[in-house]
Amino acid sequence: MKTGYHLSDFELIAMLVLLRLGEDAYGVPIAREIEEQTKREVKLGSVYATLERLQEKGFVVSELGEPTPERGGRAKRYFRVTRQGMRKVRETRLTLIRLWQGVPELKAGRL
Amino acid sequence: MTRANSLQPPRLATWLLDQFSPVLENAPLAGDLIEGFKQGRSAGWYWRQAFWALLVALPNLLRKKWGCLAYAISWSGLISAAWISMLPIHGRGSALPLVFALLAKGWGVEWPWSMVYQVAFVTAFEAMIVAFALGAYLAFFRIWKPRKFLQALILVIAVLAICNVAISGIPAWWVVLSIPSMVALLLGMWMANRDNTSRHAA
Repeated sequence: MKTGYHLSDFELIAMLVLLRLGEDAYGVPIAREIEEQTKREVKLGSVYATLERLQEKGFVVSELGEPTPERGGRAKRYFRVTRQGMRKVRETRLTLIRLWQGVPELKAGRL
Repeated sequence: MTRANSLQPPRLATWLLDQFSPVLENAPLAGDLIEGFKQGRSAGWYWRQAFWALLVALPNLLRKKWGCLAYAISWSGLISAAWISMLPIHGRGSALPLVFALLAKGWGVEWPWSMVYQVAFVTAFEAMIVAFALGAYLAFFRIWKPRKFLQALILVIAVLAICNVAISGIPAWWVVLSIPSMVALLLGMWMANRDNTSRHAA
C-alpha cells in the first residue's frame, strides 16, 4: 500500500492544468484555464502558493523566462510537472477511480 | 479583446506588490497581474488579486523572517520594560529618575504643546533604543552602510511619531508602547535589507 503526501483538490487541478498547457504554463494561462474549467474566479496568489508547495514536494519545477514590456518588464515563470509529479497524478487518479467505483449512487447516469 | 497599452493598472497596488516582491519572491506574479489587466480585467480584479497575493504570502514571509520578528519583539519588550521601570506606578519610585524628570517637564506646559513635548520625548527615547537595535542588526549581518542606516532611521522616527500620536489618547498608553517600537524596528530592518533581498531575488 502506497503512503505519503496526498494531493488536495486544488493541487490536483493545478497539476492537470500544467499538463494540459504544456510549454505555455505560466501564471496568466494557468489561472484562465482553472477559471474556465471550475467556473470561479481564481486568485493568482493562491495559484503561486500551491505551485510553490508542489515545487517543494518535487512534483513541479519552474524557470524564469525573459522580461517583456507588456508585463512592465517582469519575467514569466514557467511551470512544468516532473516525473515524480506525473506518478503522483496517476496515483491520485487511481485512488479516485477506486473510491468512485465504491459508491453505487454515483454510477453512470445516476446522481 | 486586448486593452490599449496606454491603460495602466492601479499604481498603488503595483507599487505595493513591487515593494514586497523581493521578500515574497513573486515578481512574475506582478507581471501576470499587469498582463491580465491589459487583457481586459478590471481595476477591482487587479486590487483583489494584489491584496490576496500579499495576504497569502504573509505566513510564508513570517516563516522566512521569524528571526527578525523575534528580534523586534525582544527589543520592544525591552523598551516596554524601560518605560515601566521609569514611570512611578502604584507608589513605586522611578528606576530612571533623570529620564522621568525630563518627561515630567512636559506636564507643566500648556496644551497642545504638552502633547507635542510628550510625543517628541517618547519618540526620541524609543528611537534611540530602536536605532541601537537596528545598528546591531546591520552590523551583525555585515550589511552596515551609513546611508542605508539613515534612511531606515528616518522611517523608524516617522513610524514611531505617527504611532505615538495615535496612542496618546489611550489610557495607560505605556502598556501599548511596545507595539510602535516593534513595528518601527521591523520596518527599519525591512528597509535596510531591501537592496540585499532584491539582489538575491534577481
